[in-house]
Amino acid sequence: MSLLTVNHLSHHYHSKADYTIALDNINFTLEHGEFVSILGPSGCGKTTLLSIVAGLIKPTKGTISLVEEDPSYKIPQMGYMLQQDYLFPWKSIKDNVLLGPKISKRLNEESTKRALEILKEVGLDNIADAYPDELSGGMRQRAALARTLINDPKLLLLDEPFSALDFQTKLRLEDFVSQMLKQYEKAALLVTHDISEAIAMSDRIILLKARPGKIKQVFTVNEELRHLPPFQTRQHPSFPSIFDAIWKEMSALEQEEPN
Amino acid sequence: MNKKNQTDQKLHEAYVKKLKIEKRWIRIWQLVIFIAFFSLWELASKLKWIDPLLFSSPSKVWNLFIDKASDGSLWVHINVTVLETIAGFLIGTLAGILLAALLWWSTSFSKVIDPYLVILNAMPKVALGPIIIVALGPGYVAIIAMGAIISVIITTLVVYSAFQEIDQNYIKVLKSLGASKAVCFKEAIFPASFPTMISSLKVNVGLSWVGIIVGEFLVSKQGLGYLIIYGFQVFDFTLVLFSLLVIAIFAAIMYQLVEQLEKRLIRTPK
Repeated sequence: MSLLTVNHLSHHYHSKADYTIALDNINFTLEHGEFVSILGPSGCGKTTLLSIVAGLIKPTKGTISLVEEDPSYKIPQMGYMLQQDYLFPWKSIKDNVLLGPKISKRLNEESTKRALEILKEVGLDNIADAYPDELSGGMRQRAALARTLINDPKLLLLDEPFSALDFQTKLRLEDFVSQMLKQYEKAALLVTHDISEAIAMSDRIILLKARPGKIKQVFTVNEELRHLPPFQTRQHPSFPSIFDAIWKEMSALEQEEPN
Repeated sequence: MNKKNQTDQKLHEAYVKKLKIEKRWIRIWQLVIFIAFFSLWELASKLKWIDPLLFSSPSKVWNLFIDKASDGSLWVHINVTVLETIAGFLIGTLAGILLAALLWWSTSFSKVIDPYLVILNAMPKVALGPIIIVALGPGYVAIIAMGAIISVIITTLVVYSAFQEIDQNYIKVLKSLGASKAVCFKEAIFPASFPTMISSLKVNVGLSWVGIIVGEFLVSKQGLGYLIIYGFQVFDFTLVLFSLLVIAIFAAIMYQLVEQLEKRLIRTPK
């Protein structure tokens, strides 16, 4: 059975004067350990889709189902990473990472030990007591990843987490996140407008068209690229052909639009 | 290498020295203004440039201070007023923050109550004085209520708008970790609003003094506000000016205490 099933999902936004259809009849599944990207122009409802999957917004129509091994498990099964790290500036890095256990009332010696282990994994164990404003952008995003991983989620939702970083940091962090996800056997759903990033990181790419947000096409990344780290994927000889294919589809989408 | 280090060290020492000198000059000028003000006042009064009956003089105020301090009556008045002010300040601020939390908790409540808050905020609270005195009786309770009521509504409005200004993505992070509304308030909304709360504390220090002094004008038999109104009635302006100076000193002390609190609560970036 699939880890995540999105079934006939639609979402409307209402304002006093008008309404917009943000998402129109979206269907897809995500398997255990799979990395899927949602690619699309701005305004295609990517972030809305991610918020609905995370359970932060209730969709107007359709269902989301996530396989749960144990229904009594109270800790969220999904971790969410945003464009920016949104580390709490008044909490030390360690306390930021421990936010998950604190909220689900599991704050104890064991979870503190686990937090330090995860911080070691992301290479931040020596600055566990520092505050977010003392860290660089890349380090902050790694701390945010640690905060997500401590809850041991089955699925990671990534809302353009690399978009606010400079190019070098972004490439390095892509490799790092990809390696962490493989190591912990996590599935991930990445929202992005960056074609190269989508190809470099994913197993499958879902291309959305805008107004209303609808699935245009699904691309499967070939086997040999999937197992490479993102940085090497970008260098691979078969990378340009898949990039071109997606590029053409995306350009076609933009020409369809009246504006 | 070692030599280079030494020159760097010297440069740094020069910088620190420059800072020290700058600070010393500021202190000297502050002192100069202080001395100039009081000696000019004394001189003007002695030479009758100003009417000594109306504007008194520093030496008369000082003598009155010695008298009042030695017969102990000064401490009674200071005690009464300072305690009233602290009580009014704390009640007003805490009630304001509590009310702001209530408004944040229920959007429909805040929408319903909004026009009433606007009216209450616009109204001069001091005008409520007579009604408060009739309702609560002419005593400490009414005076403290005056001190509190003058700051509660403005605190509510300022703190509530700070609660609303927080970046919603912080709430998104907390909710994705499974947080309830109460946890969101405790972990994000409340701590993120500390700087606003501190600045409203600073404003409230001044406001509560206004409320208390006006309250004492109206009813009291003790306190610094009472001394001012008594001095006015018996035409003893030395007493009025003396009380004013004491109030200035204690208001400054309270303000300093709030600043100390700010330093403890808010971590300044290194």
